[in-house]
Amino acid sequence: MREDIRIVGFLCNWCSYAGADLAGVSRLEYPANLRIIRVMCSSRVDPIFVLKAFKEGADGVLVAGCRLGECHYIEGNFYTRRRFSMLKRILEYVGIEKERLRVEWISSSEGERFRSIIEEMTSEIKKLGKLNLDKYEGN
Amino acid sequence: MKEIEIENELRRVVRRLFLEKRIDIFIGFEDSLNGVRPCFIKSVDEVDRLVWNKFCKNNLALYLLRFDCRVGIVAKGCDEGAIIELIKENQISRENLYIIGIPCNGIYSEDNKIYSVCKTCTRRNPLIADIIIGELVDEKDMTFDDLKEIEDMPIKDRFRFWIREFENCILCYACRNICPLCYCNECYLDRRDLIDLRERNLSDKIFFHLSRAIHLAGRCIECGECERACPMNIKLGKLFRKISKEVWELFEYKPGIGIEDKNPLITFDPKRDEEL
Ligand code: SF4
Ligand code: SF4
Ligand code: SF4
Repeated sequence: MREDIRIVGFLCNWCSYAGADLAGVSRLEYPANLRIIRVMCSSRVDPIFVLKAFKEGADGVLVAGCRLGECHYIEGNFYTRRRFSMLKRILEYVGIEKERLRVEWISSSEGERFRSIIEEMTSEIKKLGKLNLDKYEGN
Repeated sequence: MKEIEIENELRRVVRRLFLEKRIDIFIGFEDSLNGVRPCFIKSVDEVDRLVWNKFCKNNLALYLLRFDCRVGIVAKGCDEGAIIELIKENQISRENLYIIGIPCNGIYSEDNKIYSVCKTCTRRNPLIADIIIGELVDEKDMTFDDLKEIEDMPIKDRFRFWIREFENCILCYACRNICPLCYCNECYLDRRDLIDLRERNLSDKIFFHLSRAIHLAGRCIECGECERACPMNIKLGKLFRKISKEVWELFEYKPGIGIEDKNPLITFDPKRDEEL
């Protein structure tokens, strides 16, 4: 049984991935619970990707894109916002806390903000505990 | 108009459509051993097979995708809603279609109980039909009070509730196959690396249902076919009505109404989305 919680982060190539990179080169420390997957745009993230991550054992998922209005593809993240506000509501309705899915807009210069978001998210999800969709023991 | 009068009028209209060579096939209902079932009428001699009554529950829009000719169809509110969505999604063309709309007061199961989706239906009257048979009925006010019971549970109880539902799912795919809007030739849910039918894990079942839920957001017209088709009596209606509720509350949008309306999930509006 794994102990640590796992967070899957879908980061867009142009802003939030660059933000994470900046956090890295600035040697900012953040929790090692995050597994990053780089995508070209946050709107490339199909809600199915998020559901699959939960299914395969993620305890939290972060979808991050450029700041609104600064999307490399002009308007990609506006679609992202609608899609995931919908998914969050579906998750909550079936009893999966909405804090487990987080959508953030992080620019390439916000290494420090990236770090604090990951820290906050990790501690929030640690409080919620693991999400094991395969072994529900009915507690 | 009584059911039997509607049925007679329906046969008369369909007979005329065939005689005037305006359709190649007609989709309707016929008697079967345990009630009624969908049928496909191909010529004027078969028209007398057609029936119409409160047990005509199937959403006939499902069958439209099979035909590449001029089709006639009889439609309740929800059938018409599905037809509108299919036209919007470029799956069928309005020109090839002759719609006979029948205002609907709800459909009943074989043991004569009204289906729960019919109690909350707000789309009873034809909107785009070529001809309407029967008198228009009163539309009810929209309400989602039937979801309160689940919504008001503490989140842990809600999780338990849905796990108990999903746990019983045998992944037979009846709900997907019957859904008039689940027509994708290549469906995610057929990928065996995503859903392992040898294992049938709980996580696969949850994935199955939540994937369908998000795919049907802004498209599901609440016909209730998925719930009726389910051999395990899973409360799919309570899942899909919730999707409708959120789409309505977030975007003031209801699918199956206007052919020009755009699904809110394939568009955006920076101003109004600020609250999201
Ligand atoms: S999800 Fe169910 S209620 Fe909605 S359109 Fe499909 S079959 Fe009908
Ligand atoms: S579940 Fe999704 S991919 Fe599969 S048929 Fe329905 S809408 Fe298409
Ligand atoms: S019809 Fe019922 S049992 Fe079959 S896949 Fe759908 S929910 Fe599961």
